[in-house]
Amino acid sequence: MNRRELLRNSLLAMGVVAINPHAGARIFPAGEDAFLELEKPDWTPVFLNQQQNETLIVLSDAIIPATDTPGAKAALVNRFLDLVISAQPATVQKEFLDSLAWFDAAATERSKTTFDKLTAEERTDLLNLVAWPHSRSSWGQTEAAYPGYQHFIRLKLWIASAYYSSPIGLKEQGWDGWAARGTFTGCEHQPSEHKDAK
Amino acid sequence: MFFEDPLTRTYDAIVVGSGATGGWAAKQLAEAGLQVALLEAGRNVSPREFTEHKPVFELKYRDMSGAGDWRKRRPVQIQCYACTEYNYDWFVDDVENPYSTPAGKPFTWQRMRIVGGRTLCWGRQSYRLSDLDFRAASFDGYGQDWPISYKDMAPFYDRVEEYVGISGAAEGNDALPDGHFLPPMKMTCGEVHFRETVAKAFGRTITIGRTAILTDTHNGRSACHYCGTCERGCISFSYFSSPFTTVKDALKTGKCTLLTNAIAAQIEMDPATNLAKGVTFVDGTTKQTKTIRGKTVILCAQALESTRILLNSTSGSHTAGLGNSSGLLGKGLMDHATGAGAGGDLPQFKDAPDAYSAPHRANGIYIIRYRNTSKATRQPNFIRGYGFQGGAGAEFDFEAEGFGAAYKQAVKAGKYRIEVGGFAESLARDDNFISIDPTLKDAWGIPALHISMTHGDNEQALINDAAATGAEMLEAAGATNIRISSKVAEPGMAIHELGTARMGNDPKTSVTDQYCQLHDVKNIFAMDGACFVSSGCQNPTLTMMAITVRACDQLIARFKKHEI
Repeated sequence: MNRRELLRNSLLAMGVVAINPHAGARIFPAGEDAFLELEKPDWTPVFLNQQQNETLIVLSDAIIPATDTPGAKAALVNRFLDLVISAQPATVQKEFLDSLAWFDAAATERSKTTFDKLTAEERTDLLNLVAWPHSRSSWGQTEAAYPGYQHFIRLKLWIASAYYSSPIGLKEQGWDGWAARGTFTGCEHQPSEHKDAK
Repeated sequence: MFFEDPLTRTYDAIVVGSGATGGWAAKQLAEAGLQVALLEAGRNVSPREFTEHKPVFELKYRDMSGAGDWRKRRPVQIQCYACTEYNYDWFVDDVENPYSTPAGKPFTWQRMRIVGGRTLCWGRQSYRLSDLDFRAASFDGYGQDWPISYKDMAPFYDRVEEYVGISGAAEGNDALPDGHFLPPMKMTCGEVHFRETVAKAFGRTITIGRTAILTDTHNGRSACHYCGTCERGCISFSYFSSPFTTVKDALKTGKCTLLTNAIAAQIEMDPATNLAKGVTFVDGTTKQTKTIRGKTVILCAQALESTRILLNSTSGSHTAGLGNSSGLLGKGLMDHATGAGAGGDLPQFKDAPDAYSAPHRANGIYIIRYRNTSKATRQPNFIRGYGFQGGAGAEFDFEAEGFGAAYKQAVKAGKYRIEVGGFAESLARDDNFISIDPTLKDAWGIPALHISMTHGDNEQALINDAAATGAEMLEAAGATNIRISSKVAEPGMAIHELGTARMGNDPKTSVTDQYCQLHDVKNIFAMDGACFVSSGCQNPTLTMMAITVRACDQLIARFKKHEI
């Protein structure tokens, strides 16, 4: 084998190819972290207006509050949702905004103010009304599903998705800053120990 | 310039496609001393692209549906669970790679163009077919038997398993022959309970998934570190993926030249000898058309792509494509019927969900086929059978009701769930076919496919039965809130495309012989899923690889005898 063949074979063995080595590969740069954009002090919404943003902050923190662990506000749920909803189809954007508007309208109807300005007690009262499915009817009228539930579920789904995919939300699920690892141990009981499981 | 122009030589073999079967063909032929050109339509891949450890919040849109311009160019590919914001560029651009379907007959064609193809993202489930599958026609009278039996295939399954590394457990069940397994992954408590209950109540076998993930150091690769997101790559190469195993081995020989961004268009024929003399491809970067010369052409481009190349190779007497004297090329398209499932809660188990950073098993359980496996299990309403993949374990309960601190607590407490999903045999029917669309071309000017496939009454009956028996097994295990699904999913959703160039002994009723050689052209081979006669209900990649190894053994012997 001459020098040229040796070099060529060595390159081929390393995966170097005859045409267009690694052309177009999409590689995430080390340290690239989209969350850093959300943490910027000069962050401003790209999709929501100021009122919608305030309503979303308060609603998300009411659904997932700070307890012994941080809540949705600290997880910047509103900032991520502002970004992700801005990239959704128009129908999804409209549904999202309609649901936010419903909460402000319901707060105004009940307490003459927008949702973000309700007292904690008023917020809890309103959320208790919409957080479970129920219907409403009056004498002589056909029973109808209470519309607030659909708006609540729609926004809760977005808020929970944003929260539990944030750094704070991952920690809530046991993220220690590193990827999952180890050996999966599975069931460590003796055979037939599950016979009473039914 | 150190490199000799790869197009100035005549190779012993041109292998088209670098995935599960192409990698094997390149490795085997190159290790036997043949000069091999390996054509791959996509670019090369580097471990630097792997993202299995990248937390989701670091992505701009956290892979949430609807967001990201890349989705607009991949409306088909995003139907695949594995196509995400992390790795979408491994999947084809649907705008550049169109295909057509008849009105009312959708088909989802999920594909990857990159060195390694779908082995980068495959589900890794690896099961042998049995004579229930190879001899299915003899058993129930439908279709054709394969020209090979399990006995013919067993040594090649052994070789593939010993190289790839399949973890699993032997069960002694004839419907799913045992292999050479690395230690099995562990079952959860709920799965152990399910296995014991179902065995006792129904005599059915539930085993841990047999998967191409290492549970021990094997052939220079490390055991799985259980991060759980294999479809984003694996820095320890613990799951089988051709670029880092078979293709790497082929390149090591110095006998294999890999050409990337080489989009095979058609096979060039020598009319004087009726033999293939090369492959014309389009350079994906420059869009120049080039030809590479070879003594044999081995198609491993994925079932539909391999047959597309044959159909597009019209010349001389081969007016309807190469290997089509029977008129069967393109016919008999199959893809496992999916959509049957049952799920529920196992409230008797109180375990909390595993922490995010705790080990995650990228594998589940498998319920071995139990319908039409003997006279005693013959069914009046359908032929063939189905298997289930599934799992049981505690999960974070993001769908918990309510709000506030109670909701957070409920999410963390989790729910113990169990789910099974059926994969049913798809019958080979000549009215499920691919052909060349007369007007549609891809971005490189290559005529595109027209894909026409529906699942039929037998598949629907299988799916109905799978849903019902899935639910009965869950009920026996004490599951609550059982939900079932029996809507047959759109063809293609199993991502197990098979057939269109089936093998057989009779050139009038098949396209290739038992060694994947076209009956019509003695130096062209279709060594991927295209040669399947029937689909079985098992995940097919292990069988595809074993068929390739068997066919390459025969080809090497012919080279040694100077028959080629």
